[in-house]
Amino acid sequence: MRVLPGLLLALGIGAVTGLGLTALSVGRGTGAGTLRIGPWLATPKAGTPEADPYARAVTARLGTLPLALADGLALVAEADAEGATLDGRCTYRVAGSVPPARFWTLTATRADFAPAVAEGQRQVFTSYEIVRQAEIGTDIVVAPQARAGNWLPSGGVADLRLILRLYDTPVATTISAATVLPAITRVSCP
Amino acid sequence: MSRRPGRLGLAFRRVLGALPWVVAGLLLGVAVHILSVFALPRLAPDDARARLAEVTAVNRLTTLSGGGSLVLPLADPAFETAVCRYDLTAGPLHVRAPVTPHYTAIALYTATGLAFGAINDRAATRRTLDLFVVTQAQRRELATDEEETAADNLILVSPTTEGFVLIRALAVQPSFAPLIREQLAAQSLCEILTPEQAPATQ
Repeated sequence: MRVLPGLLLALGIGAVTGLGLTALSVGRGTGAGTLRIGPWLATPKAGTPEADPYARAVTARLGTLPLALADGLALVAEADAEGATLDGRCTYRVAGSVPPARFWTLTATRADFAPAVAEGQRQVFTSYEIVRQAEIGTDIVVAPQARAGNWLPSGGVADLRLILRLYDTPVATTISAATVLPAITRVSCP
Repeated sequence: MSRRPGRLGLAFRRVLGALPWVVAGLLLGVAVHILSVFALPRLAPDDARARLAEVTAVNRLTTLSGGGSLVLPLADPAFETAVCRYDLTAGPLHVRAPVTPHYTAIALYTATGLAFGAINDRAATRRTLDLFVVTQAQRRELATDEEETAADNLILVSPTTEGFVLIRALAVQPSFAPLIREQLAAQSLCEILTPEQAPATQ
């Protein structure tokens, strides 16, 4: 192969694979600092000066200021306990014990982290509002239609994400794969 | 094949000749990937700095109203937020937040959105949460006395001259939000200190 076409081929492959890898990896839980705990993803270091390059890139691309670790820790779920991608048209139960924290919030969002439902509807549950049951720590139903009990509307969006944020929590520094988090189970799907 | 290089043989040789270029391209791809991930925080056109530059003034506190999540994606909708884009060139910055009924936190970020410090209302000794943001040089000038908490003054060193302060307060129910927002707007502060106002460390 002659030099010029070869060089062009190499440059083309380099640009496509390099930028493609970046586009695919940033924001998908890549990076050494990301923990997978069941369906939940956490990047504790993202809220500190030691954030890894992937976490920094995610922050810049989203155009946000991440939750500082001394403030709180965010956990994002894109799938249920069985590994199936979350779908707002289905009904889910988020139940189990939440790690110790001063309080926590649970939010339903879309894949771009915009709220799943419009303002005026319930976008978030705080632990202060939860109706507790005798046996189970926390039990929230995420569904498109209204339910009795702790109902978080999902707006029927196809690209549902759940974000659990723990505030003022000792877990921020001790979190590991063994940390117990609420389970996300699918109840029904139309 | 060597006896009579047919069409297939020629194509095979061609592919073999291109192989080093393909390998070089893949290696280049890895380098491009690493470089682009590192460059993203500097090059992202729609980062927090760009978004906030449109709605805020330097060293002035801006309350992000109900639709705050539109300005800062991934913000918790349970919170009311006030933001201050700071520039420490003229002097140290005084940040004050009111202690709201449930939870208030002040978080500090560099210009590229790296969180370098945060405190919440547990650190408050009065009805307000006060802290001072200084550069490394200003910190040295300020005082040699290490006991900065003696006067209840919390001093944080910013790694960059410019950055952001985020004051966030929890509204436990959506109906509390307007009240909390009002309290933030009325009692929060973000201003550059004149030399006479520099925090006492005695």
